[in-house]
Amino acid sequence: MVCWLIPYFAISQNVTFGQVNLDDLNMKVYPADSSADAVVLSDVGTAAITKNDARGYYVYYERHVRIKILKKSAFERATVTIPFYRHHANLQEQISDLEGITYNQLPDGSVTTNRLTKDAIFEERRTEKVYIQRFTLPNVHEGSVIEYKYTLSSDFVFELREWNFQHDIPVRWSQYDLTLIPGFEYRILFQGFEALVKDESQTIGRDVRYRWAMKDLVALREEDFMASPDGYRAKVWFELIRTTLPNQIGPQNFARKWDDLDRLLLSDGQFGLAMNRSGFLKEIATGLRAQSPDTLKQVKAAHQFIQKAMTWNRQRGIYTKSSLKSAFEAKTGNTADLNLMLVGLLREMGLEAHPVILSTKQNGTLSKEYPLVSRFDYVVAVVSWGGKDLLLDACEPDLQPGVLPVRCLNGEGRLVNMRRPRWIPLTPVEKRRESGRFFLTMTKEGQLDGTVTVTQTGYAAADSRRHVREVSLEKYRQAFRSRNPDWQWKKLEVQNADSSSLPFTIKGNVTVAEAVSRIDNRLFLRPLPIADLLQNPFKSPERRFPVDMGAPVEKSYVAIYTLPEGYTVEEKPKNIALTLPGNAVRFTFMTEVSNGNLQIASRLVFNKAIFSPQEYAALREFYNQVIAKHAEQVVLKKDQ
Amino acid sequence: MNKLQLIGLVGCWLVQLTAWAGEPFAVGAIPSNLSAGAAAVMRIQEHTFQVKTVSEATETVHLAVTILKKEGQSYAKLEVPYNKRSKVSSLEGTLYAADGKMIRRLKRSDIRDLSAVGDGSLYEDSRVKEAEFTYADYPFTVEFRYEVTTTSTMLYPGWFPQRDDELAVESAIFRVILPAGQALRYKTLNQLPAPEVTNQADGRAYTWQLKQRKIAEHEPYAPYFTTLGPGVLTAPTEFELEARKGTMDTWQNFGRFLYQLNEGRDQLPEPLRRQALELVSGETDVRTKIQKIYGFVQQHTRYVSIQLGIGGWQAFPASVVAEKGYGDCKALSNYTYSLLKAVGIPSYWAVVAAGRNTPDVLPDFPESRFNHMILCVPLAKDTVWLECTDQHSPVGYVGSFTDNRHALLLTPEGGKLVRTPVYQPADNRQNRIVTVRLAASGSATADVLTTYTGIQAETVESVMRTANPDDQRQWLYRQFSIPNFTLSSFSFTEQKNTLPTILERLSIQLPQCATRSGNRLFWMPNQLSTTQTLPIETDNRTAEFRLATGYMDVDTVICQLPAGLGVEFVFEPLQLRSRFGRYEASAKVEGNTVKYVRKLVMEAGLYKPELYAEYVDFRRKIAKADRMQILLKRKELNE
Repeated sequence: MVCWLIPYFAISQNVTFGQVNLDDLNMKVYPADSSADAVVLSDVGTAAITKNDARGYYVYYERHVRIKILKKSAFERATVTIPFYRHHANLQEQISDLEGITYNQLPDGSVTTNRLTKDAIFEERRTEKVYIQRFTLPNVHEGSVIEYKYTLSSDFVFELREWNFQHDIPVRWSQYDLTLIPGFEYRILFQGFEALVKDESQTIGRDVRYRWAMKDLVALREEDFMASPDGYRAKVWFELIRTTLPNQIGPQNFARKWDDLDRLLLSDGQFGLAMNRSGFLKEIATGLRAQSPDTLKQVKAAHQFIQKAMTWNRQRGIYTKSSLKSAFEAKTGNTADLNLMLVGLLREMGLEAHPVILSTKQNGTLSKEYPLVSRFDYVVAVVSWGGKDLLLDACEPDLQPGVLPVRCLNGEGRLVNMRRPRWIPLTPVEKRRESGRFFLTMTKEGQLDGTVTVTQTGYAAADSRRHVREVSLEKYRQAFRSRNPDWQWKKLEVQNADSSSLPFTIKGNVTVAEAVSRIDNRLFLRPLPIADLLQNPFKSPERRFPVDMGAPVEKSYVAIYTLPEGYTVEEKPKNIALTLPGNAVRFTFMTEVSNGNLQIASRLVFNKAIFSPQEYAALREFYNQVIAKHAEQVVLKKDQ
Repeated sequence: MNKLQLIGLVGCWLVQLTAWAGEPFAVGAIPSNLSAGAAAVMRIQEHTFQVKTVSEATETVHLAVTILKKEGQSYAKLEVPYNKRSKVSSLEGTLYAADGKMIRRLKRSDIRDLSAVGDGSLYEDSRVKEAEFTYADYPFTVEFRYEVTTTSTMLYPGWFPQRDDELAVESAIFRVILPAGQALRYKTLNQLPAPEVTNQADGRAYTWQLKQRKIAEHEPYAPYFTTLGPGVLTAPTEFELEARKGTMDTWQNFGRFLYQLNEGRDQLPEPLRRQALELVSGETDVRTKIQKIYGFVQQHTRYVSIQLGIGGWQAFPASVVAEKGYGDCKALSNYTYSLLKAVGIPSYWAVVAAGRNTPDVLPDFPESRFNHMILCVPLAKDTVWLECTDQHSPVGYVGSFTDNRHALLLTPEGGKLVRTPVYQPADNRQNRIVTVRLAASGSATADVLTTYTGIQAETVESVMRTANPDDQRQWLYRQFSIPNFTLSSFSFTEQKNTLPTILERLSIQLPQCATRSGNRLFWMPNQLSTTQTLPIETDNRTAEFRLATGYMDVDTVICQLPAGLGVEFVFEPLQLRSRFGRYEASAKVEGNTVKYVRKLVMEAGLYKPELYAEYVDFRRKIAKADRMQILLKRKELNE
């Protein structure tokens, strides 16, 4: 079978191993992206499910990559790592026929070729089951063209490898061929903003052959405020729908409708069935129930109980590691262990609770068109209360019931239930909120004394609490102090660092020795020195991908100054109110003088967290004006 | 023999008894004043290193740590590194609740066997066994035991039980046992008392103990060794590495061992040898010859980390580098050595503890703590140092990776400990000229030309070479704390010099270069070179502090004022002087231009703890001086 496959592919490849194109070798700069230090000239892969008597079914992959090295900074591209799996003798992957060549052009125009030799190939066992093969190509210089090819045969026929068309350097040509034989039905899924230049399928005998190609792909680079570049990468991946194999009795389905997926999950020993085995929580449930007749309080108590009793081991997933009981005894587990346990506990308390599966931001966008269980990497709990869905994540000790961590706020989640499954929007219900109150007295010498209270709620409080936990309260206070080095704190207290239900509060008495410049008979003051609002976070003038701030931000500050006797306000910043279209962001800045007091109020409110590249310029300019307003100074004049 | 067995039996029985008598790890047993402020308490640490023969040693560790809160979670994880010459055995772990009752034991399947090879490395022989407990109920206690046997005795363990500033220590014991009649070489640090030395049946034992140690805060800028807490370094006199014997009692002997390991690997293919001779033919100046050979190496090779060959200490032969065009630091140093030798210039391999934050070796304590090789070319009057893994450095520049520290030259006569070059403030310069065109509205455009040299050029050089323009732009945006600005254009160019020299040209737009308030504009002339972070203040400092690199910044800002705007106020010239350096800033008005000049020189050095407050004060004064403003006013309203 493999034999007759090869000629077919050999004809269709436009790049032949061992034959370098002189234009590529002469290339000094990649015309489409003059900044590139290397370009993938061609990346061609094939995958074919096949079978032989000795081994049974396996996947036969081939890959041939050719890269142009333009600058020294790309030399590391000549060192290549190929990961592969080796579970046991009957379930493993093997790399073979690895070959590599470096081409260089000498000043006299002649071309030298240097082949990869065995002594530059190393195998390394990374973990129990994950291995890598690593090699480096010889004699790589600026201007070299390198190429390598290998085959990989894999026993993992139920999990076809995905194909990335796009990489962190530009790609001139990327092509993938897939051959499926009868018995395997895969769903084919694409992601990214790039178009296919080839999208073919042809039936040969009983097999189906696909060919996809893309060309002239831009380099995929990470930007600030970006959830994950992987979510934007042009790629194709595959999801097994059904197998009909000779040794099976009838076809085996791997969920193709949402209802099927719900049923599959609910009857799975590591999901639905695990969740149902919650009897060990009965006594705890009775205790929690007895604390209050109020449903919301009961939900809060259950949520808090799991948060306290369990430590999340940072692993995501929708399946439990072992039984909930053993996770409970170990006091640790993954997302599914914790949140399915929470569902179980709520149910033991007589409340109607359900699991909601979702795909986190790092995991990428979910398509409702395709019921693919593998696209989900997280599960939370939901309880209906007062006509609303209260979403609960026990993995995050710093968030209130109803508030999910930012990583979960990605599209919609699926409430898994036999009779009433549905989609729940995962939009932020809480903000990253900070407010500050400054009561300051100014002396004639230009010194400020007074009290400062900064209060955080929502995601801002959760972030601070995590920070405190990670570095200790003392170090958090030090970091807070260093935000404004001129400020001498006489007292600085952090309140409610442990309690997620109360606002996180920083309170202190401060002296700023020389906050005010004195020139002749005038005092000059920058009235709201908020570190976050001194610089525009959106530095780059352009933007390719959406801005994702995680959660909407709200910042409001009020400063009340008692002015020194004998001074009056000569100039002060003008009041303004700014908004972006659709009220997406609002900013107000107001000053007022009364009874020898100067009052400044600044308020910045976002009503959404994600901005498209088209909205970027307006957002950046908006921020510019916020920063500019905060930089304006107040002038006080001594009465004559 | 009988007696020994009896002791063994009694020991066994005692262990059982304590286990049964119970809960030795109950949290209540920790003295309350000991755990104040700690994230974890080391309850027991028994660390024994026994050298059985010159080619066999065993390290036995038993430790128990109570984790008081989440910050101490890292202690619930055990990582035991090993390689081809060593073996980890009998790794055990137990988890105890706060009351000291056992919760569970580590299962075999909980122990992960992982590669410890860095991503940038093609090959290294390093692996790690890893095990971790996660548990929600703080406090809890983890106990681990393991044994590592090794056939290489080149490296003896160091012992610093309190190197973490959040760890208190209840009891820690370190014991080194050598075959009878042998003496241990050691160096105690940070007031660790001398060891108790006993002669026992299995050899001579050196024992150190630490008990009841509260946490000790780390102080900023402290020299590396002072942050480790009381401890000891140990090293062999005689050792073996892959069946090769060596001695380490003196730098000379250890250097001889490394020299012999790398000797005779300098044969070059004949065409290459002739090419080298051709390259320098007719050249009489030895420096120029070195420069040509070094340039040739930079052009024809690249660095690839491959830690092969006698524990990673032996270089590939020069002929292999000639064939492949790559090598690690040893291979490339040896390749350069061979080419220089071919043209009649002798040089020495030099091993160093490289890295900006890597502690230097201690001259009075020969040990094997080197991680890098460079080349030293002695000349009649001075010395040229070559970093052979860098494809861009000017000849003779080694940079912050290996500057100002000891290097061990490997010579046929043995090792010689010498010092690498020190770069002075005048070498590490940032020279900036800013031309500002200010508009009456407060907006401005500016051209900025910055020349970076020496260590100050290293970061910008790597940005210039490795980042794509998008990332370069992002990097530039991060360099300045100007509230709003847009980079209209930028470029980096390299200038040929004896030190790395990079020119950075920027054109920027500042919508709010000066802030307006009524008729006035407040203008801060120094917006680009302001000090961002101040050193953290600490009370009662105990450790000395080290300022690693001296440097010099000179900024000249020339601002053209728009018609109609005059200067209302200019600050007086300011000078600050301290033992740490000096600062000057002044501004002059000449017609419709204002010229601001700022000069900052910082001296490297090791300073006494009591001077720290003075240092913080100096930095604070500079930060304040950097924000001095000039007041501009509309002229027509003045008149």
